[in-house]
Amino acid sequence: MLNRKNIFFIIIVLAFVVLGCFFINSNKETSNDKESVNTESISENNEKEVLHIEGDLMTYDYNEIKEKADLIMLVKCVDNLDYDNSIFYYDEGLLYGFAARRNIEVLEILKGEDRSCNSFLEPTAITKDGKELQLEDYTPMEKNGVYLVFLSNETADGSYSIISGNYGRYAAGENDVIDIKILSNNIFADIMYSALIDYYSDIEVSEKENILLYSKYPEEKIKCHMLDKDFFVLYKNEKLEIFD
Amino acid sequence: MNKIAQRIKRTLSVIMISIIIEIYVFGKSDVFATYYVFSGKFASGYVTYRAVSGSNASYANIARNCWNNISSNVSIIYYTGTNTNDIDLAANFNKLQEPTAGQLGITFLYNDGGLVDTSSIWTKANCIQYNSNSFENEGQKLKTCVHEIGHALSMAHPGDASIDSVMKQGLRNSYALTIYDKACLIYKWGGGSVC
Repeated sequence: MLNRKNIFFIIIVLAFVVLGCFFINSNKETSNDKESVNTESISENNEKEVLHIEGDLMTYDYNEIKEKADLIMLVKCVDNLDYDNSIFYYDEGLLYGFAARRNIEVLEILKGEDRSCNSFLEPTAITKDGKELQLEDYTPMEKNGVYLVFLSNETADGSYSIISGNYGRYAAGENDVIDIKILSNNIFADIMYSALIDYYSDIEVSEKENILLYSKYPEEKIKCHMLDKDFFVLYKNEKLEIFD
Repeated sequence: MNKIAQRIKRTLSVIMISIIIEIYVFGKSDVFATYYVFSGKFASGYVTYRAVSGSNASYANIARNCWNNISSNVSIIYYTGTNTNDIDLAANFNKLQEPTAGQLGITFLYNDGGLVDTSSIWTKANCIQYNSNSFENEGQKLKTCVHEIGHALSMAHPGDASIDSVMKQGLRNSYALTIYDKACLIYKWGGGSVC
């Protein structure tokens, strides 16, 4: 038989359990609200309406995306994103994809043989009513921007396209000039760093292998030369630092 | 004095026991300190679906079943009628190649005003799993189908790499929902116990 004391203790235990559950759930709600606030502030800051379209993208490390790429190039974008260069793909009357064909000037070809490539697709588009579609957090290339791009022609219409959004496109400068501030701001810093080491540094082959094959990042800055710009790179704590 | 000491001792032991119970029952909730969900959602969790002509209907059926029977407020039901306007979720799986390289799938959300983003209320969704060369097996394809239907149900990519989830980007051999995925659905839609 349960006496009064035992009932009292059971009630105390249950009260703690219920309070614990309530506390945990209220913490979760706070975290989610923060996310919502972020989303809204991003859309308020953009002049045109931007729709982020969600999907599932391949993820890559440097060696994987280099292997996947048919072309790796340093390019300058020579046009603006607009409705005219946007492409919408339909099946059974339903939208199944979008892209924009962007015209480029090739500054350097780092991998691949195709020298005739003067445009490629990127995962963004402008709709007829002026909305900008972006795949995940991919932002369109800007006119006169300089970009390092990884391209593949495994696409619906066989055109070259940037591979996996931000995995395949790295801003490097503008108006034919490399800008270390722009270079430093790319999302996948490890891929950017490896590409700079691979194509724009003159370190010894063994040291290059240590970085590219075994991810053994040196503690000292490495000198790179890209177009007419000399700079130093350091990859530390998963961050890319670039110095004059 | 002895009685008071005994009472204090018993009270402390009760508190200890309740803390142990909480840690046991909710111990894993630390992993889910944040649920990554969209602020917007389908107008209703009761959604009709149908596979687009020529796409893989079996994938669509398997993928929608993964999200059923978790929350009593979410049910994805095969549409048997003839009016295509009544279909809430169109599943276009394993039929079309990706428009740009590296895309495995995509989800378009709509309301009466046209395309909307994930902060809105939507009444229709168009989920696509591309027939991409990147897939190495059927499990990976099904994972993307489940992932895209997850987006239609307001599930976002987990912002924490340590979370095990079908909503993570990229190839994954298993398409089964994880504990996090199920808890996340209930967090968004209710109709079940996250605890």
